[in-house]
Amino acid sequence: MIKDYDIIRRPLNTEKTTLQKELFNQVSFEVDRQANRMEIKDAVERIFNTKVQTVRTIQMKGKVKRRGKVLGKRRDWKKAIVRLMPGQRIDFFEGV
Amino acid sequence: MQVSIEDKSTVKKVIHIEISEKQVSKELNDAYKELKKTVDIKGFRKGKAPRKVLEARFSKDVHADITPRLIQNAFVDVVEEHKLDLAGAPRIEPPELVPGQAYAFDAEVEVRPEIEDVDFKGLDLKKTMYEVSEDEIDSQIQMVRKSLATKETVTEERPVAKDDFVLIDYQGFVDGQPFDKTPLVENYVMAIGGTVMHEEFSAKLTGALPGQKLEIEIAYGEDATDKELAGHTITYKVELKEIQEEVLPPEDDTLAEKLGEFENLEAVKAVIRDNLEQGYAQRIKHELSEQVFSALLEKNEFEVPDVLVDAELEGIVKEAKDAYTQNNVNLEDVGLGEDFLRTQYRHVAEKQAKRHLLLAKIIEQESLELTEEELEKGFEEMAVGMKATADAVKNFFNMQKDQLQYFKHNLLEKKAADIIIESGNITEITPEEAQAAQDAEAAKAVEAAAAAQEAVGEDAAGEDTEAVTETPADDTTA
Repeated sequence: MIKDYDIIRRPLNTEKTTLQKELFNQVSFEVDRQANRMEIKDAVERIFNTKVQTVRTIQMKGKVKRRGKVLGKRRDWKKAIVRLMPGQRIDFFEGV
Repeated sequence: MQVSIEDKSTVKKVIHIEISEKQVSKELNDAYKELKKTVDIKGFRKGKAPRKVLEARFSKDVHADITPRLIQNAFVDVVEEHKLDLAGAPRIEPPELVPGQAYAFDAEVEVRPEIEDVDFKGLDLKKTMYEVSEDEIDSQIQMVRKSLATKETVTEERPVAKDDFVLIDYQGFVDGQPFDKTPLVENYVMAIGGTVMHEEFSAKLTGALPGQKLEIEIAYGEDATDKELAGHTITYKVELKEIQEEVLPPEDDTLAEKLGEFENLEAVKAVIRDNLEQGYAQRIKHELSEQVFSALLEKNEFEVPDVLVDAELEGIVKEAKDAYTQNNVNLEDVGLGEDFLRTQYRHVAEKQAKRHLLLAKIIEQESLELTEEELEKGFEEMAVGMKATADAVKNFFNMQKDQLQYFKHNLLEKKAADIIIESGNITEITPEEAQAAQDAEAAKAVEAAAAAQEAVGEDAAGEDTEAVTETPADDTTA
């Protein structure tokens, strides 16, 4: 199980994800950068005890932040948009 | 909203209130709407956070915010609707608010008792006619003289007598060696028969002649008040240097002069007489009102809400505390803990509460009102008491309206008390008769106490009958 939580870093809860949830029954997570779609699917199914239809992933580029002259960059990360089987749902507000 | 009122006693009631689910959700909706506008949540722009997110994060705050409001509104409505005359604040233990359900709670309240019309006319009252006697004035004059007494050296050769003062040097020795706790004291003026020095001093010095040297041996016990001397046997070497006599100023116009601002002795006496007369006038009034209330309370029985008694009790305890702190004494140190006072004075507080309720009833019954002049007079009296100008007092009350309300009520109570006394059946009696009646009563009380003690007797050993007999300074209505 420890591996599952290593893959799924945290749920994302924003205006956009709220919309996706309402319209397409999709939930989003920040996930490990090395994880592939299959691993993510298995992890989500096990952790939340649900059925997953599809998983789409995006490599997110960290924002470039500047402080005076110094340029800095936030870390890159991977986002997974998980589409649940119809009728399935996840409530994960408590972990936010 | 559903309401049912349950009577626990004439003054205690429990109100069951149920606020409908509809009203609860309306309040909740309003609260969340308001919250949504202001709250900043990561991932959402201001005002865009969905209700669910808010609920997950803020439900506790929102509920804590709404519950008192719901209770307050509902409670105020109930009180108005059922015309409850509340005494003190209600006791409410609010349960958790559950969204989507009606909200029910109980409020425990105390109401002022309904007092039936008080028939206060024609009460049999005994008015003790105290009179200022010449003796009393004289003893006051003697006290004044004493306070102005001067000490003069006695020139004739005579031994020390009682009530003399002596000028002495003294030093204490232990086993013939100077003792560092009792160093040489020079030119000390000591009163023979006084309590400052050890009584042995007075005894030995009486009869001594000026210039005489004495040795006074005192063995201090282990329990001596001065811890540093306890357990020592100290030999004091005393030299009597002078005998002094207290000389009282003569009782004539010069005495008046010494007091300042008086023209002659007659003027001083007049002031003393005035003071005494005022004191007696107050005492007469106080006694009358005491009689009035014990009579009225006997005639009109009703329950008193605990909150009112507690409030009175609070006042009594505070007064006692203030009185003691003024003398730098801690209440606990003299064995008068707050709890102790509370139990001791509970019946007094109850009586006072009853008295206030009765007076309020009478004020209402007779629809008494204060005239401008009476208010004005009240201000002036207060000003005299506080050593301020009437205007200052007036200003104070103008700033603090609720205090003014209280003050007015106080004056009204006084007025009511006066009216009762006036309409009473007053018999005038002499102080001697009053004393006799009082003695008879006291004897009765003692008998009753003895009987009570016997009744408690074996098991409780009568510990509680040792009641504190003094009453605290009475409140303003007296």
